[in-house]
Amino acid sequence: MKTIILFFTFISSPFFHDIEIAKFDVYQENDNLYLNIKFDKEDLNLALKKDKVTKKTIQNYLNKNTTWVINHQNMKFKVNEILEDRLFYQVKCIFNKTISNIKNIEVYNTCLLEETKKHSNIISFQLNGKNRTFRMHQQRKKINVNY
Amino acid sequence: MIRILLFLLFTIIKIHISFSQTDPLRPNVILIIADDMGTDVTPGYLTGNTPMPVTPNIDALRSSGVTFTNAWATPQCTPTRASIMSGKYGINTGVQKVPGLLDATTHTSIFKELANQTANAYSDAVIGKWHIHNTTDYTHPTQHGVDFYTGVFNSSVPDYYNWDKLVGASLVNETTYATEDFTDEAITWVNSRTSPFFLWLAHVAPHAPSHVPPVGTYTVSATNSFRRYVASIEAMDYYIGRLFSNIPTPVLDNTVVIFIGDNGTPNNHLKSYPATRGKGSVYQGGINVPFIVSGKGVTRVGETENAMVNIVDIYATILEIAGASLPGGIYNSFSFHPLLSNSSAPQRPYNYIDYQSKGTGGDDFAVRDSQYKLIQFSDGTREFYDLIADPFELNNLLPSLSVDEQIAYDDLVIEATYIRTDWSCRDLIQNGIETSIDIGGTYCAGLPVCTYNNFTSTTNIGCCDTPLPDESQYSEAVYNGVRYISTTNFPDHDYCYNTPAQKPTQIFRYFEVNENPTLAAEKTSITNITTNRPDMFFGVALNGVKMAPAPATPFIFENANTGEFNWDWIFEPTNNQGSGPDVVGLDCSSAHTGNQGYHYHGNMFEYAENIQAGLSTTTTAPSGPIQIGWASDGFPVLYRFAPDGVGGLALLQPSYRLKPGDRPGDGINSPCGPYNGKYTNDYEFVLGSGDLDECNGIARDVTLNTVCGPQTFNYFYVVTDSFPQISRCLSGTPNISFDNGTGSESCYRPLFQQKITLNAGESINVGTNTYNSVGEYQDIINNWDSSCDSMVVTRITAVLPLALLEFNARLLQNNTVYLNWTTTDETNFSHFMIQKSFDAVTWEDISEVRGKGNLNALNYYSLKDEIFNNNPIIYYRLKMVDIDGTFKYSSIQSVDIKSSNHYSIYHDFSNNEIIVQSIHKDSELLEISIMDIQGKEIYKKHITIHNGKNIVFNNLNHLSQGIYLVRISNHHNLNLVHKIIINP
Repeated sequence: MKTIILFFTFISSPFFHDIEIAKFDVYQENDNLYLNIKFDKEDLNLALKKDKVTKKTIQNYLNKNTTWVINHQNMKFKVNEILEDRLFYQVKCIFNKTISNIKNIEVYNTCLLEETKKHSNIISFQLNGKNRTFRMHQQRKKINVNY
Repeated sequence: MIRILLFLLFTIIKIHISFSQTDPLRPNVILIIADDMGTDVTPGYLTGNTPMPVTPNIDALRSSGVTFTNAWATPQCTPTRASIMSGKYGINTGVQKVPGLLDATTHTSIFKELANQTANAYSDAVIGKWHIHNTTDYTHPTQHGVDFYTGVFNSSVPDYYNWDKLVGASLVNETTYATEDFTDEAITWVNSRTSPFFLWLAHVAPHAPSHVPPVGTYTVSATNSFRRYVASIEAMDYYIGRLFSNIPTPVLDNTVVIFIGDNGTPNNHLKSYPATRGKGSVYQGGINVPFIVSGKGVTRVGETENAMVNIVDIYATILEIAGASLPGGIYNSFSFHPLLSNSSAPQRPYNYIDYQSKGTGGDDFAVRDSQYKLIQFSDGTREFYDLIADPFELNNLLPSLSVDEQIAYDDLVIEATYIRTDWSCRDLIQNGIETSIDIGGTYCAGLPVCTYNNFTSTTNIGCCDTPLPDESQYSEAVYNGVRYISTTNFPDHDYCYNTPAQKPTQIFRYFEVNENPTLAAEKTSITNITTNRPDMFFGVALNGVKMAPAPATPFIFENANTGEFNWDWIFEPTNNQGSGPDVVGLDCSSAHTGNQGYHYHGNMFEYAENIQAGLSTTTTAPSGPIQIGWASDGFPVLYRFAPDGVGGLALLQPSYRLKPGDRPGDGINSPCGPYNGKYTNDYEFVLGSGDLDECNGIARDVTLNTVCGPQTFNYFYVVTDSFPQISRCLSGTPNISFDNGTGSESCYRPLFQQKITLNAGESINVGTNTYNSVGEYQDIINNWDSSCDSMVVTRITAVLPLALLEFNARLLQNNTVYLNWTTTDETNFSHFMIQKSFDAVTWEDISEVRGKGNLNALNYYSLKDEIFNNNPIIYYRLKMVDIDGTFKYSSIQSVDIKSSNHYSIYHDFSNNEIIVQSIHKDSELLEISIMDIQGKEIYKKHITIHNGKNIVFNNLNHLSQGIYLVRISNHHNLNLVHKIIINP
């Protein structure tokens, strides 16, 4: 009768180490397209000028600071859930539709770039059977990924 | 008449000599090489040493010529002499250490080239130290085209007044002070020339041994080693003056004199530079040497020149002085001849030296431009300095570089690559296959050049904080073949972090490994073999901290154009340490904090030092293997030293090495540049090159003390000094509890190794909980509750219808053992079966006693057992049987029959007394104490115990209810403890 509690169940991503980064993971599962984001708690609070974030405030912030275009279609997404621990927020989102044959992805992302000058946004795609990762920062606010 | 004829003949000859040696188109050249004389002992350079030598003749050269302040030589004599002789850097001569042989067939010496370029117009000589050979082949100077050689063939003299001198093909003993002898040989040789000459005068002074020079040749009081060293410089200067004064003025006026040091000042005499950065190092103290040029054609009188020059440049410069016309220079030798008369003349754009500091393996090298200097050591580590702002190299700028510094750094990396690979297309010399200066060479057409930042740094951020008590907790238990480990993942040693957010916090974690691990058919990487992302931790240290060496986001090679990571090239954390962007903030234990908590990436230095001072650096094996952790497959992890297979311990070495050559990448999609350890993929496993397999382990027996006692494993891992330090794969089957994605727990739960049996009145504390019910408890590790506030403990035996309050066994005088026990709360109880054993394994029934059945009162029982054998110890227990047949055993009592100390302790309930029964024939003074259940002493006294019954405590009424321990001891071989229960 052994019970182990999975306390931080969302910390399965690789270590963040000592660098100021946020991580955006895009993946498909059960015919849905998801976006999981992990923010440094202190940095996001600073960006939102709040001690406590809500789905609404994060949704607005992400809508303002990110654009996702897949196969030349502008994609919208919805914040489903926010988890938090001592250091991080995890924001779970779902895109409004699934694209079956992804050929091209354009991402515009300025999250936290104004607040922390050395900040990077790491964008990972687990799509089409491949894992691809990109780093965005002050000098690279837009990426174009082809499959 | 004869005298007159002889005088006329002598005069004619002398006129002829003077005329031949005063041809302005063929100036004479004297190259004077001082041995082990750096800039900090040369007047006109640094002033750090006291006393400075008095050198009027060298001063005169300086005041009449050009003093170069940025001259580089190699850090030791032989490579420097080989470079002057050949016009090539060490990387091209192959002479990068001492001893070294400059092959006369492969390289064209300056003497041969001078003969070629001037149609044998010059006569030449080397007088003094030779030392570019590693044999006793005395023809070596001749092989290099030297017309005349005499002097010290090897590195130095054993005694300046008693040394072997090579004359022709023979060694002869010489007792003249060496510097004086070389000078006199030089005077004789110069004055017997009939043509322009080139004299290479290589003094052994001021090289050790520092012997006092002849009286009158020095001014300093030579009272200690340094002063004798200074005196030998002054004497050398004296003899330089003697040489000049013995050369006819017209000849001397047509002579160019070059004075240099062959390397920096030896460390024992070094003052101005940081200690150990003198001779033998590629820091400035080892390579920045005095370099003065004066004489014919040197029109810049008394000037100081900051242009970079290199001892290798002497080759081309002397050729040009002699009339040759070179396209910038030749080989690696850039002619500074124009600079002697024109301060605006071209200068070499880079300076470079290399040196095999360790004698074997790779070389160190240094390359600089007018401001910055890059050093790369043989292990691939680099340092980068601003020589203008930091001439003594006290502030390594790596790894955090400004934009300008980064540009300079990249540029120097490129130049070093050119120099070390082929001939540079940016050295202003026509060399290699170039068709003119820097045109047509290998790199001149703009072939791809690695500009990607390839620096490495192994400097950690140190220790800056200390753990609080109880922050670090670790417990371990084994049950049913599984080793359970519970931790707070917090270091028990000093640690550090770059920002407060990275300060370690407790992260509660629970691991399982196989108690008896076996090797698997295939090894398992801790990174995903498809994605290269880290999949799992390698193991857990015995302080509970994870061992997670695999690097991860964002330390990945990045395409500078697209930002895409190339996961084939992940930074090796231990080679990318520091504070700032793109480096890993590893602390004094090669660890730092990620979102999985504090974890080790490499050699756990501070942790090891916490275990045993000096353990992380010593080369002396400890008394036994030191286990530092458990791998995720259950095999132990040892620290540095491990069984050598022949009964001892040895410092085991990994079988990895840097790949040779350059990475195949273009610098855009994947990294380029030399394999230097920046990336994990820079290393390759070479079977047999070390002791360990690809998982840094070895199939060899090791016996370790575990929570279950000594246990032998047939395989173990080793944390090593060099890559991979901590293994990146498992040879057994890793447990899923080490998966990177497995979550943490909400609290720390201590583990217990033994089953716990509670008797009446006993209790245990588990976390914040106390348990005091009578009975035997299952291993608590199998009874986790989902809450940190409580813990479910399952009793594995039925509750018997009685409470056993006490069970004693003591030896009486008549070879009889007296057993007594007390119960209460007897309900539906049947009987006691008294059992005896001589080994505590095999038991026999000796008697049955029916239960009394009193529910609320105390029930007293006793039994006498007569002894008929000679077994030293006899064991007793009670089998307590319920009327439905279920039963439970009491604790085991033993009687030591053979002991000379035949004492026993028991509690006389009726009189509330503590009795010590002795069958010892003699009386003995014993210490008697009463302790509470935590071992805290309440009473203590000394009583002489006589044969028979002794009342040691007779009034226990003031003791409150509870369990107490009574101990008797004689501080020798007696230490008996008996538990008593005080009831209301």
